[in-house]
Parts: sequence; structure tokens; C-alpha cells
Amino acid sequence: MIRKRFLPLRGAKIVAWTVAAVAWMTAAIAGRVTAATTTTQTAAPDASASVTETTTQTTAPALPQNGLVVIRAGSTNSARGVQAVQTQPQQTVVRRVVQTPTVVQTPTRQRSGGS
Amino acid sequence: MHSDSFHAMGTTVTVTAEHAPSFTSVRDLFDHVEQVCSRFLDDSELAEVNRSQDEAVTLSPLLTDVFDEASNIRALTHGLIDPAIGGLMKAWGYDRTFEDVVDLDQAPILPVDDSEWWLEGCTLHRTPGLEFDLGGIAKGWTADLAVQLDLAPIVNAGGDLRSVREATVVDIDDPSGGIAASLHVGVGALATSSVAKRSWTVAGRRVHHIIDPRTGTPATTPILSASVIADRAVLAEAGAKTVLLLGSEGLAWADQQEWIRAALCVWNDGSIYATAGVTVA
Repeated sequence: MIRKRFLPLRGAKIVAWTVAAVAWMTAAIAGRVTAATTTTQTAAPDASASVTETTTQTTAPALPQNGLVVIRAGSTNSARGVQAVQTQPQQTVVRRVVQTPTVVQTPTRQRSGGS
Repeated sequence: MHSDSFHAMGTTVTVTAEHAPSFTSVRDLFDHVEQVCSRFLDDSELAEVNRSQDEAVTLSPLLTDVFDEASNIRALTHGLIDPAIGGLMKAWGYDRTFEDVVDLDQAPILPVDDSEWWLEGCTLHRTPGLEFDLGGIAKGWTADLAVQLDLAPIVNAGGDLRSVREATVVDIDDPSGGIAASLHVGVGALATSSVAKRSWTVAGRRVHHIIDPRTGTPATTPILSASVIADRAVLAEAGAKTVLLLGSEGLAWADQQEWIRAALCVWNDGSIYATAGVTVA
């Protein structure tokens, strides 16, 4: 009886301490991100950083029906001066190995940077 | 293959061709279309349309073709890409060629959005006073035309590119610097739309040139730049801008469009995502 009553209590305590620890770590990481952001903005404001005032803090794109290719999963928020929560790409992404196409002509390299 | 560049439509146009005469022909074509479609040249046909307060205006064949394409694109993008944002662009201070745009002290009073337009033959009907901006459409449309007329196999108008060469590879600029990805385009088109380009200050806030017609304000999006591969440059440009405007839903939307082969986004946390149709070179 005693054992049966003790175990649920112990389990609850473990859960409570785990939640508290995760919350503390999250707060600590968020604090560091904010600090890094503030420092960057003060030190080197640039046009591209200020443009991001109009960007939103969305974690990742909605998953396309035919899968999502993650070419780079990175976080450069602090470097760009964006106050954003550090995010990871969605767990449901489809990673895809892409083959280089067979080229019969000499490759012609162009560039596209947006207009 | 040789490349040569010139300035037209407020951007750099690069022509890749076997023979030098192609460059002159493409330049002449861009100059001609700009003379018709620019809202910054006082004597252009579009400037005249924008100045007119008439409800119905008869267009030249060229401007009719461009408006016809704009109408098609408006339907494909559910109204997100609409040339009838000329008044909004003006209100936000983009009322002259971008090099001359100046910062504004006060936020604009936006025009009321109860306007409409449609094309009937070569007659443009619109709510009197409605102004148009064909800047985004005209570049891709002209690049397409130059290639279709066989003036050159590859024409790149400020990143809106059309190619008939199977081996064409495009390096997508990363807004943070360097190359985000190199994509195989081959016979087709690619365009990139970015909020990191063409920005200025309004009431102390940084704004960019991609206006969301749903809000009348510069787009709020987690995407720094979006690239789309399609059959034609004018479609790729419209697709890229739509992906950017749709934000987190953009790639899922692009994936469902038959006219879009692939799309790629640089996210504001530096991540790079693409639809499954993309072929990395």
C-alpha cells in the first residue's frame, strides 16, 4: 500500500522538477539570445537587419504536400539583429538527396538576388 | 557564349548569347518596353494612363499584352499580384525610380481600396484614379519575349531569368551574403523576390517595396527572399512574390500550383527551405 501511494508522488515530483529545469534552461537561452541581439544591433546596424522589422517570427514553413527540402537548417537571428525565438526545423520534414543533373552542355551560370 | 549587361527598367539586364548583335537587339527591346510600361517616365504610355481620370482607356497592342498577362497573373495568384498598387507604391514614397526614392517623415494615408479594373479587348476599364505599377511584370515579360523572339538564349533582368539552355544553373543570392543555393533551371525561368532589396525609411521604420495588397503596407513575412522556377520569367516573378507574401504558407501554396516547378525560401533565421521539385546543382 505504502509503496503504491509513494510511487505516484515520486513520479509527480520527477515530472515537476523536470518541467522546472526545462523552463529554467529555456529562459536562460532566451536571455542569451536577447542579449546577443541587442549587442549586434547597437554595434552594427545595417540595412538588411532593419528591413527585418517587417518580418514575423514564424518557426518554419507549412509542410508542402510533396515534402519539404531543407537545404540549410541554420539560425542567424542574433547575427542579423532579429529578435526571434531560436527554432528548429519541423520534425516532419522530408530530407531529400538531390542528384546533379546530367549536363551535356557547358554549364551556364547565372545569378538571381531578387528585385 | 558571351555575356553583356546594360541598365534598363531600374535594374541590370544581363544577356548571354553566342553573338554580339544579340545584345543590341535585347537592349532595344527592353528600352522599347520600358518606354511603354514605366510609371516613372513622364512620356510613357503607362504614365499617361495613370494621369488620366477616364474610366476607359484604349491601350496600344504592347500595353494590352502586358495588362493581359497581369490579368492572368492576378487570377493565378488570387489577387496577391495585382498591378493596381501604383497608388499604394506612390503613397509609401516609391513614386520615382528607386535610386531617387527619399525617406518619408510620416506614415502615408493609404488610398481606399474599393477599386477594380478589367480588360476588354484593348480597352482598359478601371475605377477612375486607379494607378498601375507594371514594374514587376514588365521585366520578366520582356525577358521572356527576348528569348521567344530568339534574340538570345538567356536573358536575366535583375534576377528574373529566362533560359532555353539545358545547362543553365542559377546561383541564388543569400540576403546575408554569399550564395544560398545553386539551382538547375535548364530550359525555363527563375525569379527571386527579396525584402532585403529596395528598402527606405518611413516614419522611422524601415520599409521595402513589396506591398501586400491585402493590407496596403509593405509585406510582413518570415521570408527574406523567395525564388521560383517556372516555364516563363513573368510567372516565376509572380510566383516568387506570392510565396513571399504568403509567408509560412508560401511553399505549401507553391507546391500545389501546376505552373510552379519549384520554390525556395531563405528564412529570417537563415534556414533555406525548398519544395520537392527543386534540383540543386
